[in-house]
Amino acid sequence: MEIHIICTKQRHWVCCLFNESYVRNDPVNKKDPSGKDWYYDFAAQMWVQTFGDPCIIDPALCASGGVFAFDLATSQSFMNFNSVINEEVAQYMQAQDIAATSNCIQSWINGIFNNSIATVQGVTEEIGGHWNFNVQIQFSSEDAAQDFIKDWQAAGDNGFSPATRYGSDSSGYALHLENVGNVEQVNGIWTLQATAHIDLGNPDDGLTGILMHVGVDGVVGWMFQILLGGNIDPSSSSCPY
Amino acid sequence: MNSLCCNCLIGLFALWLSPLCLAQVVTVRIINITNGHPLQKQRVSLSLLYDKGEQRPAKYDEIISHETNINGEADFELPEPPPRILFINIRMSSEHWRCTRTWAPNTQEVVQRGIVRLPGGKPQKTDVLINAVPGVMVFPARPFTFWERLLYPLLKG
Repeated sequence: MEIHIICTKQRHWVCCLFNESYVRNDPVNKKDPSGKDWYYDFAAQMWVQTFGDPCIIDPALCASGGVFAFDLATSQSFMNFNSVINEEVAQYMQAQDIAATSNCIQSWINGIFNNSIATVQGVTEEIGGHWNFNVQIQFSSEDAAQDFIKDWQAAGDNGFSPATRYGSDSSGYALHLENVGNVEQVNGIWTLQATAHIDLGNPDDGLTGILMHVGVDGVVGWMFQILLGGNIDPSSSSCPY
Repeated sequence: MNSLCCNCLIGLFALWLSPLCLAQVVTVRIINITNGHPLQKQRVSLSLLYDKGEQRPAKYDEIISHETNINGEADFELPEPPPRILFINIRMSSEHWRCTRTWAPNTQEVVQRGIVRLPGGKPQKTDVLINAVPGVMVFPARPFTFWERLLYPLLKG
């Protein structure tokens, strides 16, 4: 009964676990005499129904500590496992968010500048509900690097500091490419380091943009980050590039 | 008479050679555009990068960094031969300035004419007039307005 009460509060796939679990499993050898069980694949972060011995089908799964439904026969073990899963799911969702934003930023920069190749190298930190990334921009010639610097600086001249925001007409979002640092040159490849994030409101677009940036990026973003531990970056489907 | 002519010729030849032999010095100057006052203790980096096939000195520092002095100036001695393009990076001691932080002028342009890279924002009637001087790169900085300063914490992200 206790398990049922807990179960109603869980995600559907966790509830399935109890409907489908077979308590006659062999917990030591992780074998199901009936040949059917569910196990949690941490790598794929999902429940998988199996017939036969999964340790033989996929030895890596057992080595990585896949959890079987049988192991969760008591409410306490279920609660412990559920908290682990929730943490895993949260981490997975965050990783998905970061990857989507990273891809969006990379495509966006490459869409703006034709003579360069931008690579998003890694996330730095979340500031005000926006993930910030280190970006490496490579040029095949000195002139291309010079043109980029001049274009970047000129584009930010009349916008709000710090420069530079690149607006998107379709979404109202802006790519904020900043902290453009020293240039390096190795074997004829010119490289610039910068940081980037996506703003949902572009203050360079006038009063609406300023209000959006202050209200959404400035206030709502921080609330999301502090109170909910989330972010307000656009999803992969709403990335303008 | 012959000896005098010979000395003169040697002197003229030395003068002709001197620009080639002496290292060229370029100056970065940072000033407040509203009053012309120099801004000291601003960090300026100059990257000396040579393209593939470009002739370069045997020994040189790729990045030179200096702080601007009491005149708002930082002097950089260029190696011989200098690179074709100078990559400048400026780190202001305060965020509340609008100015060029990164620039990449042609060395020849800097040496022959000098450059003035105006800051963004609306030009004001009170802005000082700045003329380019050979060998000098002037980066005038404009202080934030009251509103820019007020909104900056919310707008900078």
